[in-house]
Amino acid sequence: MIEKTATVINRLGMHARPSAMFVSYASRYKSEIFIEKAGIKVNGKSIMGIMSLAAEKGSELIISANGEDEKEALKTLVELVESGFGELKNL
Amino acid sequence: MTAAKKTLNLDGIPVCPGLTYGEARVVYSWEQTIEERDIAESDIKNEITRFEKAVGEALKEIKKWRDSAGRNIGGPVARIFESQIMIASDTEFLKNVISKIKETGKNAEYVYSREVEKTISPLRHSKDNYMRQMAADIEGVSSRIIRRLTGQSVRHIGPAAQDYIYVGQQFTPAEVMSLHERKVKAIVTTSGGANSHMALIARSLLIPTVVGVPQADIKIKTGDRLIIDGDKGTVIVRPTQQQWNDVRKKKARVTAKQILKLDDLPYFPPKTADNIEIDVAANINLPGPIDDVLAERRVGIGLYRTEFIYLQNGKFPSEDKQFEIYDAVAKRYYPRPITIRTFDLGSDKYYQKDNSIKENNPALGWRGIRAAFDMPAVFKSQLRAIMRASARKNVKILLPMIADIVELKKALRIIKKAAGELQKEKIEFDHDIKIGIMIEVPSAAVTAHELAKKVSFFSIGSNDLAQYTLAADRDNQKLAKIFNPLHPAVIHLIKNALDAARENSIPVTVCGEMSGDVLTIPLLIGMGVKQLSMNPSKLFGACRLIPRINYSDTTDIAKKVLRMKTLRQVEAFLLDYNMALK
Repeated sequence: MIEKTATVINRLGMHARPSAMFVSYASRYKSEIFIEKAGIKVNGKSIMGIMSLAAEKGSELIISANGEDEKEALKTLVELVESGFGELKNL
Repeated sequence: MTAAKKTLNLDGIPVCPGLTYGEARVVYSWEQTIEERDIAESDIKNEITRFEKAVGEALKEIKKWRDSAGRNIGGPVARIFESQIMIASDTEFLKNVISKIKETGKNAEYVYSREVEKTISPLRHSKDNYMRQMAADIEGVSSRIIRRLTGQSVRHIGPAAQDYIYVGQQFTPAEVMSLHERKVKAIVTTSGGANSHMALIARSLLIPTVVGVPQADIKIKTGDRLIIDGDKGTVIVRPTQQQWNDVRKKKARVTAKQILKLDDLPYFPPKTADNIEIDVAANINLPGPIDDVLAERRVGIGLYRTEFIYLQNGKFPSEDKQFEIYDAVAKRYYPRPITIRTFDLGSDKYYQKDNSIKENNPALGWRGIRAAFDMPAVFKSQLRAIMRASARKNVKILLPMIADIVELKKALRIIKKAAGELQKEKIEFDHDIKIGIMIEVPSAAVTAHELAKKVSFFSIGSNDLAQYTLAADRDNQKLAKIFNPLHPAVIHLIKNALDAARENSIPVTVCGEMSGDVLTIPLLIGMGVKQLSMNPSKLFGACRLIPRINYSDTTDIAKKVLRMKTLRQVEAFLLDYNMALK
């Protein structure tokens, strides 16, 4: 299992759409995916789990992946979070 | 007189403007008492099947509303329902509920609602609006599933009566869609903010809405008369007879204005937050009462579709008759410019009784400029009529369906010939009349650099351009997910036309559905569109939106969208931008 920390940078935080995006990206991989925020760990393929984290802008997330494609999965998901889910910054 | 009959003035947050009045229908909160029951071990399997069936049915319902939103409002808003679908079908979550049912031997609605509550509770107490919005999204979905399990198939919104003002703690996006189908007059809620999903949908549907009215569902009783001011965010409950008569009179006098809600506009033309004026114009089909309202507000006409003159009469009116019609419109709107498009009729509209020109694909067939070339006398008499109406110098000619430079040159030759005739006959007209073309056929968008050298303006017909580019019939419901002017391919074609226009210093109007879509407007402005011409019913929404956007941000929006690869990315991005607006 490998893990990496990513910071939520988009202004609106992990609201409905970024959460949905995370799940749809995570679901492309065979590996198990988890996200942890402030000691609470949820399944990264569950939108309800991710939403329950209430990850606002600035939240630190530990993303972990476990499985045959874990490297690729972790890279993609960290990039997704750190790119602000394609939202416009500073608006 | 009892206290309950007293007039009350309530304040809330204005979400969607408009003054309206009507009878209240209070929809009580969906909080249900959920029974906790023990399920016999032999029945656990049935209980799980019951749960799965409820989830499946709820999903089907949400999908139905997503499709309806796609048809009525457009793709981006339909995306709101996409995340609801994901919530309803979260495999991990559902698996967990099922294993808990097995473990505890409790009934499905009890287990499910407890698991949902665990997810929602931190969100509900968040200081962040968007997090609370998420709690509302989840509640909307889960209550739908729970209702299925408890036997109440849908929340009781009341019999399907029209023209009421609906009052409740909160409405889900699906409920707003269903109220819209019932022609709801206005919506009042106790919770929610100006940027909630419900608010966004109400705004898109132009339903006057006031949210955040404390205890509205308690203070207002079903049957109470209400006056809603969606601009100020006020609700008058049980108004005095005088107030009631006044508002009704006000409404009765200005029906056309009310449809357009132009009276409620802060100013016209609208300016962005950083003070850049945006040229917003209207598309019209036939002269009518709407012209008085538009002309009074000094709204220009970016697209006057003349084919309706034909459709109304079933034949082409004479040059003189047409001149009378065009001249009246030009005079009515003077000094504002009007752009008159020559007949754009397809074989499906011409000579409806004549089967000889029946085609399998009228959209790809004999229409627009192609038909005009085959009816030179008709075409020339229309051009003459338009030019004769141009003496005040506020008329422009727009040519439909131009596909390439050959067609354009041919059309220009005919216009020149008509002008020569008028000159010879010493008939007054604008010798510098501006001639533009529709960019709606992909070949025209691709070769825009050639075309831009020969005309004074472009007008982008985004619907047809999208339909032809994506090979998707815009009226075919089965293709609703494919047909979308926000597809990157369409946006790149529009950009190509805009680049060509910029190099040749000619302005570009967008006159398709896109120009009236509040989600697309910031993108079009950012891409350099000079005029947005839209259906009059969209003017209101556009003019309310523009002061909320910063012109300087729109360039970034355009840059970013132009780098996107999928329709879904573009839609999601524009939706987020809209929701983040103050």
